[in-house]
Amino acid sequence: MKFLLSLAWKNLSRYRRRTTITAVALAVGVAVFIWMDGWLLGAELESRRNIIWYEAGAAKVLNQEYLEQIQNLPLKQVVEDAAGVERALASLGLEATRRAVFSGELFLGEGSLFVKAVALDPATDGRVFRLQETVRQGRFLQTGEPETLLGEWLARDLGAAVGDWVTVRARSRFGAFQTLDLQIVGILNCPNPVINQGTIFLPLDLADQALELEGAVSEIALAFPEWQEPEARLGQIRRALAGFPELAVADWQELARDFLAIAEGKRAGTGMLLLLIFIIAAVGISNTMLMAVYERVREIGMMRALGMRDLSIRLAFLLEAGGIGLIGSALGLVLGAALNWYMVRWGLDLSAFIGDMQVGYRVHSVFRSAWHPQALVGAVVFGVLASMLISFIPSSRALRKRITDCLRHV
Amino acid sequence: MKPAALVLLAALALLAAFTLPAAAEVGSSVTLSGYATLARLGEEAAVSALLKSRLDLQSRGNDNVRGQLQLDGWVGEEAALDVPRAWLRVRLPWLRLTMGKTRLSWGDGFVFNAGDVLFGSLDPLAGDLSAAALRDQTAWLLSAYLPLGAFSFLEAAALPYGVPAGPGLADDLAGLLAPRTFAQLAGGAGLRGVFKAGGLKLESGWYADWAAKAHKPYLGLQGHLLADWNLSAVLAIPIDDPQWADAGQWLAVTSGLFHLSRLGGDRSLSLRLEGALRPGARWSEASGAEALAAADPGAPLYGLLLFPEAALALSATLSLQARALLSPVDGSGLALLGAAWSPYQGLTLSAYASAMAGDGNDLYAWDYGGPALTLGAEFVF
Amino acid sequence: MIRPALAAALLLAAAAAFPQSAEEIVRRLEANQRFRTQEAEGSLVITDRFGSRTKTFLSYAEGQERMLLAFTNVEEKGQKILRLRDEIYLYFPEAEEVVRLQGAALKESVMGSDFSYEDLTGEKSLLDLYEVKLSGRELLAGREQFLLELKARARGVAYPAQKLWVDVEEYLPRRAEYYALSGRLLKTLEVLEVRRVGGRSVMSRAIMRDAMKKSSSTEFRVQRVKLDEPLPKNIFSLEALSW
Repeated sequence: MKFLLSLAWKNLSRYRRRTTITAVALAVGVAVFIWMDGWLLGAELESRRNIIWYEAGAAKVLNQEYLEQIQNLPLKQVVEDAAGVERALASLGLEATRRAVFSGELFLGEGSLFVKAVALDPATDGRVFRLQETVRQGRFLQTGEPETLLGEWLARDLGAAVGDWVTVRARSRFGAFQTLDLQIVGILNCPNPVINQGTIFLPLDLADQALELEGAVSEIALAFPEWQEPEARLGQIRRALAGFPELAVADWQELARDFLAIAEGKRAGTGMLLLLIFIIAAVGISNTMLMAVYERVREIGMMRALGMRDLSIRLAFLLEAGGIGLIGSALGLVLGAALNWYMVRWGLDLSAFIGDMQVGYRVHSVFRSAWHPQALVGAVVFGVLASMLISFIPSSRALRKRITDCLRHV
Repeated sequence: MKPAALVLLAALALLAAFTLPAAAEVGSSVTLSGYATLARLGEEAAVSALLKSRLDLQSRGNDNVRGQLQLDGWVGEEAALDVPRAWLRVRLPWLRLTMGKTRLSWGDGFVFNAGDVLFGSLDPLAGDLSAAALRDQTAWLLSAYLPLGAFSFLEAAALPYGVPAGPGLADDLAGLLAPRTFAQLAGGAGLRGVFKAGGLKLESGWYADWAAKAHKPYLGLQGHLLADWNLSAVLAIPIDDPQWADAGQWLAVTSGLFHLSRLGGDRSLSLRLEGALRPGARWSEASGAEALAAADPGAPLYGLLLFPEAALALSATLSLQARALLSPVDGSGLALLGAAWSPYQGLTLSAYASAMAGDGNDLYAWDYGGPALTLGAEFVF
Repeated sequence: MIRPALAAALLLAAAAAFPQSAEEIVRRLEANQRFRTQEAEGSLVITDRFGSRTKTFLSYAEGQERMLLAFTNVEEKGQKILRLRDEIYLYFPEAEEVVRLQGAALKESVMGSDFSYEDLTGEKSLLDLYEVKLSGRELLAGREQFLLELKARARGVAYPAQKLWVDVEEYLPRRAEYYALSGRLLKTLEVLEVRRVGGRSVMSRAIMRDAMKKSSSTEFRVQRVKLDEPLPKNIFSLEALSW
């Protein structure tokens, strides 16, 4: 074995140029894979965080009928007894806050836009959401005041500034038209673009009065640490809410289905990248090995004539290919890790390209990567194994020839 | 048809347009439209243009007789004139008769409609997905409509000369009325009934299609359950020596779903999904000589075709649209993204991009319909 | 002995001079606008910030539940809508096709205008929805009007408050204002022209404005109208729709 290893190494160093080119091709493939995978993972993790922190909480208690038509934000289907729900959940020790959500038309000057309006309780919203931390200008909402917060992009579209008064036209819980005059007290720059672009916030007690809610809310948003694996928690919550048959519990994944569809796509994308690397490895290495084998047909014949077994010869080629794979993958690992480090540390500012475009991911225009150890190891292992697998074909070809033919080969 | 005859026809139409309105008995409208397309020609980008005009004359004012004459002229890759419509309709006490060149829509379905036994709405539809009505072919026909109450009726139709292969006045009219024996007529005749039962619309009919040498009985249902839906099935039974063992080959089923939701203000979103299913057709990819693009009449009949569509109206004047035709069996498709804006009454500006995705052998092959960008303007007055 | 008779006569005279409670006015107003059948030729001028567009139409209606609308402007010429209690049939002349639609979404706005079906076909009497108060008389374009103030009886009513100016002689609305819960003015209806048809007064030109969008309005004009005259036979049928 030691002999075979040293033979493979000698062969590698004998054709340095070819080894280098193949290894570099592979390295680029591996590096791109690591970089893209880290980037996509970063976007996914950040999206999840942004969904949970600013949009969905870990889960929400809602009216079953509301959940079924949630895209229309019907204020008719509500959680009637919010205090009762909170009492029922008290023993579970969850953080909770109430929100009422409705759609309305926002007027400022001559312009108007349809928006999603979220009425929140300024005192308890921070227990579940981190909206407060995203206020860039002005301040957060205060209970009882006719105030509103707007996302930065929305403010820009409307030409709104802190201090301006806007009017929201909406339907009350029972269907009557209502208008609310609100003063902009703050402008948000939320990392979640859905919030930044088309959502306004106002104090819940104000909406309660104006929209005839009488204490009812659209949702009770919950926070709990085990949001990654919410099933057990959700079971507990459902049992605690047995007395409210009209209510449903939806976790953040259910509430952000569009995002999850993207994440699905991402997985398919990673698969495509692996395939791409495989193709790079396959083309590069099979070409290299084909050349190596053809150049060395006489050598192979000689070795076979001298009594070296086919298996050993094949193993020598396998090791040679594995060597290229290892060099390339290691190089790719270093390169990919360096790129990824930069992306984790600094991120890539794509604001100039993306702007208001919605890509489904809830990330701001600065994309940041994350570390994905499995992918690092996997890429290297895959690079080496794929290289070795590929070398099988050309070496088999040479070994199928008769020794005499090999020796006569020019 | 001789050029002189064309001139005469055009002169007659002009006469009708400019002299009769004095009596306020003719409603006329003119549609002018122009399109410029940037597409791939071989390996290079190429620009093409299409100019279309339509003169439409309709009778007015009589409740019991109606008529319509439509003249189309266009200049594109070739110049042509056509009479898409020229018909007369008479209301008798218990019957309505229509004769001339027009269209009859049997069955339900926007793109795929098994009930459309007269014109056929099962083929994969190759070209332009941007039109408001994707199937508006007309034919010389004679039909009788017998109302049975407000929402039920029987309708009989005969298409003595079948469905014209395509637009073009000369081809369509030349020798049309020359004497022919019944054996020489390549048309068809049929009958349908439409009934309402509960919330369902039930339609059934039979068309003897001599052009396709088949009897075509069909059945259609339409109703509403969360969305508007329709389901139709047709059998194309060969007239000559039907082999009943092959009955599975004759069946085609189409179905559609449609949902419209208001998004507040003038905004609305409509979603549509239609499919055509032919159990006896090809369920594996055609290759080699069998493989033809959807534009060719002999294109392979795949077992499943789908048409998804989403249209978003952002205001009363601005709308966005995405449409696609998908052939899952060979994994190819044709997609269109478009926007239309009507800044002034009667004027519509549009822009759309379309592309086919598929291998060279597929129904919707990249080679055949590479990416194209079209800008258009239409004015109706 | 004469006194009671005199008193009765005086009472009658007073009733003739001031006959109206607010409810009475609304009843007469509604009776005046109620029709069994209506056949009209008219137009809608829809104005938004991009400009205005005109749709002309022929319409036939019977009660509140059956209506056939045929467009006559060139852009939509020949398109027809048959609206029934729980379904809508559309007719597209180019495809020569009848499409049947059901579902709640279709019942909301009238041809993309500021009129909602709630505005056009209030199936209930105003008196069922609102408490009505007569708050005085005002002159409007030189004609005397009752000014009625309406407050919603229940919470589900789209416009919680309305003001209505009713012509003292014609018992037709001349102007209406629609308010939000907050008291803010949302829409105004102004009747610009009234015509006598078969011994009745009918609105023949009216304009609805969105008070919060300065540039948005819908003007409704009736060129020709027939009330309570027999409609063409079988007008609410598929035959008439596809004619």
